[in-house]
Amino acid sequence: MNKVLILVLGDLHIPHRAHDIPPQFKKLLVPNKIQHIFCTGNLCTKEAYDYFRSLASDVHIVRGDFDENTSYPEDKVVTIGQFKFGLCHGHQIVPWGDYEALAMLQRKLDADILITGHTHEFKAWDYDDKFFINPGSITGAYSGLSSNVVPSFALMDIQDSRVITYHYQLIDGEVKVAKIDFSLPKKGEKK
Amino acid sequence: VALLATKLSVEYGGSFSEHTGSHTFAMSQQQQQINKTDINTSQQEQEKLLEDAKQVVKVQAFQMKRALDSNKLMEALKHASNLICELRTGLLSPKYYYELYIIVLDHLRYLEMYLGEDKHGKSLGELYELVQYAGNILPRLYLLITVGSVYVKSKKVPAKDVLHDLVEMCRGVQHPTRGLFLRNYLSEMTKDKLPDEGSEYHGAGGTVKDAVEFILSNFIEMNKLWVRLQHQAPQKDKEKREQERKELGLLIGKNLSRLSQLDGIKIEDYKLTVLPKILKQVISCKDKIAQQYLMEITIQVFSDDFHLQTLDQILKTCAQLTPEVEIKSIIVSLIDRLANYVSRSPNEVPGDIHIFDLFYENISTVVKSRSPMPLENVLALQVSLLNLSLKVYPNQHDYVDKVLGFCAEQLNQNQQSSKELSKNAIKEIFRLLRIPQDVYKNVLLVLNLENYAKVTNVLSFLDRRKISLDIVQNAIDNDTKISSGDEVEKLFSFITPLLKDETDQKETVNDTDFEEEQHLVSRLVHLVQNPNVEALYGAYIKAKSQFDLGGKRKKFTLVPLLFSGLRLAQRIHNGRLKDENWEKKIRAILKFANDCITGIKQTPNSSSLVVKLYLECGLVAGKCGIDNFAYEFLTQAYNLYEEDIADSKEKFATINYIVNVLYQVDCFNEEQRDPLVTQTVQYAAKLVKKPDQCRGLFMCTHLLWVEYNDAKPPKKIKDGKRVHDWLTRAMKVAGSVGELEGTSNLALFVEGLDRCLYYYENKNEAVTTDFVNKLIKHVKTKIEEAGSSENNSNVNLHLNNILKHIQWKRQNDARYEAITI
Repeated sequence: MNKVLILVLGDLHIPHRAHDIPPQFKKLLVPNKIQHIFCTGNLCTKEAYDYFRSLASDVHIVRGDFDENTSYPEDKVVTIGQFKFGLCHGHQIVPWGDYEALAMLQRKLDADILITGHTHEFKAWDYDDKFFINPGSITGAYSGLSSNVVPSFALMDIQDSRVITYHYQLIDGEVKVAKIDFSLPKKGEKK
Repeated sequence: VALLATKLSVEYGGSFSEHTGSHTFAMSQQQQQINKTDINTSQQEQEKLLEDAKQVVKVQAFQMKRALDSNKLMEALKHASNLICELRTGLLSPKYYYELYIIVLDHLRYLEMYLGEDKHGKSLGELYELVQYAGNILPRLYLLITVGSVYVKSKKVPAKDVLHDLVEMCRGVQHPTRGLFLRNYLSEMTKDKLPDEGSEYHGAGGTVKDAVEFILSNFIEMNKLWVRLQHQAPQKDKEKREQERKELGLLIGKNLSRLSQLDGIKIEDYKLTVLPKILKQVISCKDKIAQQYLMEITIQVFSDDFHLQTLDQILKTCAQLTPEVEIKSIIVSLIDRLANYVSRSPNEVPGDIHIFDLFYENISTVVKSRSPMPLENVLALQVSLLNLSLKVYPNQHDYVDKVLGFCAEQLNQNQQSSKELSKNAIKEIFRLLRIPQDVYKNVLLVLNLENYAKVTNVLSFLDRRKISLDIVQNAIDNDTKISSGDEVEKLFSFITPLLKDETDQKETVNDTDFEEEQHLVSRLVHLVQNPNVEALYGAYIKAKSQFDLGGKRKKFTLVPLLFSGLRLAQRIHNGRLKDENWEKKIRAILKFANDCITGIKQTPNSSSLVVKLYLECGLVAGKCGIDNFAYEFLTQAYNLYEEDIADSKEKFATINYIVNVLYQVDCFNEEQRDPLVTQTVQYAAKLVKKPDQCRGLFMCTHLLWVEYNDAKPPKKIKDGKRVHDWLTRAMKVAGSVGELEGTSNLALFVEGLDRCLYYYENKNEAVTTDFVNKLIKHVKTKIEEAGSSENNSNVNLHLNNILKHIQWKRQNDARYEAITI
């Protein structure tokens, strides 16, 4: 079985709100180890895009509210293996970060896994047999919505109908990792 | 002796007097050949001459070997002499002479081996005398060296005696090419027979002193011959001659190499005897090729600890070399060697040797005495000195500053004579400016060097810009924290080409480069950090006063500054329980943020950015409970929406943003909130495209359904009926979407359904089960009517997802049972 690793990150806000991805994270992000990158947006400049391309060849980006490149799509659907991923920055959702409102977007995109950002707060939950994840801000950029932003991102490991999500965060200069497990329901079965 | 001489002369084919005569003849022949020296003969001619000579040598060598095989030594010597005679030519250029020489040496080696075997019955002492009666001086000396070598090896005579004799006798050949090769032969044959400490010839054979004298003597004579070669040719062949000389340099250099390999030379001997003699010869020969080469070789072959002790001597010699010698590379190679040596073994430096001072003083002298020295060479020397100082004295920042100061002086003098800087000079200046950056890895340390700016300022605008970019990149790469207004001011004063238009700026930077540069400066802002809130705010103020001078750059630079301010405000708000002045401080920061926005507003095409920034500020003000500021920021955003946002897509996005921010702000009272909500709904209703209107209204419903749990006191705004009314209104708009627009209203219906379910979930009583059921039926009908097509598939999928969701909800919430799917 070929390994399928997906890097999920976003809200870098370079150079508006941050100067760089933390070096402790940069050390972990090595080229040719990751197959796909999903970015929730707010890079905000081309330099970040070039950096992503140096890590993996398949990069998907959706438009954040402060992205300079206005040609990124508002949302995107990508199928990898058995999973249909929905990607959207999330500033378009009313209200911001609301679980039900996000579920509406999930239903519209027909996604198994919905990835959004904007709140700069890592969250992962499942609802109605679907998986929702917000990778937070990889640079720990300022947000008016959160009074204490912790730099974070996620790495997803797809194995058939199961996805293991590794939640990376930077606390007091140290990288901490947590694991989250999610599986698609078997056909015809409801949890 | 006379008897012996007669006997020999018979064997040699001539009386002694004849011998003398032939000696004279030989001399005059040599003389003639010197006059005839016309190494301008073409390559073809040279090759012919060489071939002819090789033929003769071959024949004579064969006969020599045959004679040796039958132990007829005298005959062999005669043939040996003949073949050596081919080396008497003055017609071959050094390159071809060398080829011939090598062949001759080969045969002499054979002879040497034979002599060592002792089959000839004669004593080596006898032989030594014998060969001195050879007809011509050149074969005489070659044979003498050959025999002498075997003689020394036999240990029947002290090595020093033979060595001394040989090196003196070689004076007999004054022709440059012939003399050089002869002495080279001497050097090669004696290299393993020197009475060095630890060698078998030491003691009875002499001491190191003898070895040194021998080599030095040979060296000095060879150098003289080498220099003489320069003056042999007519002026027009000067360049060719110089090239030939350079090819021969190795022959002379080998002597110095030999000296360096003598184990017995102690540092004191080197300092007081050996080096002074070498340097004396270097200076006195007054020849630029010799001086250049010999200085370089000297530095190369002798060890670093020797150099450390004799720095003064070497550097003072450099000052006395002829003006055409390029001393830069000599001194640079010396400095670099020593820098590496000392950084590898710092304990080896004797305490009384101040390397930096020695170099600094001597280089200053050299520069002054040899003016005008090309500026780029002066700078290259200083770069080496800089490297030395950083390697050997890493904590002495003042040394680096001293070097920069010297350069600044030189550059100023150059400017005053209004000479333009050469490309190489600029290259050296860049090195001067970049090396401290790379080594210190902290731009603030670099910028403390007083003379750094002085050197930078002589560069053109584009070059100063390059240095500025280096400084900023260095700070970002090394995560250098900038913690005070003073540090901001100092750093910014060094990067002015990036911050504002400069008076000497003749060229415009292209757009891409300009953007990249401004992004870099923007990133720099986030390095400004300080745990003390007042100090940090002061630093931001300083930064802003610099950015304000930047014109169009403000669109880039004031944004990170604004967000830094908001970040600080958040920090203050987080710590408000411990700080009674928190609100005053946040108000000050919000005013600062507003000033930033005003600055950005002045740049072209900034409206869509500015409206978002007003809303971000409004959000912060709202979260901090400063309602009048929040209100002002929001109204500013509304004004901008009305006046400057024309594009329909942007209009929609702005309304989306306004709704979300208004939703988040919990500090407004009814008087403040109502007009804002009303105005927002009006904007949505007035959008030109019906789908935008519809979706806009959907968004606005949330403004009437919100809980503020963190407000003091907590409050709810839940106007269920109005929500229901607006939903209905939005669906009507969806229904009125023209048929020309295809099935886009289907998507709106489905979205509307999902939006209603949101309120159903949140228990809005006005959104009844009945309402939902009617809506589901309506949507299903519409979809059926539209028929199935590619465009419908997404909508169908969406609806199915909603229906599946309702089914799922039934597990936990009985109300969903009532919904018919």
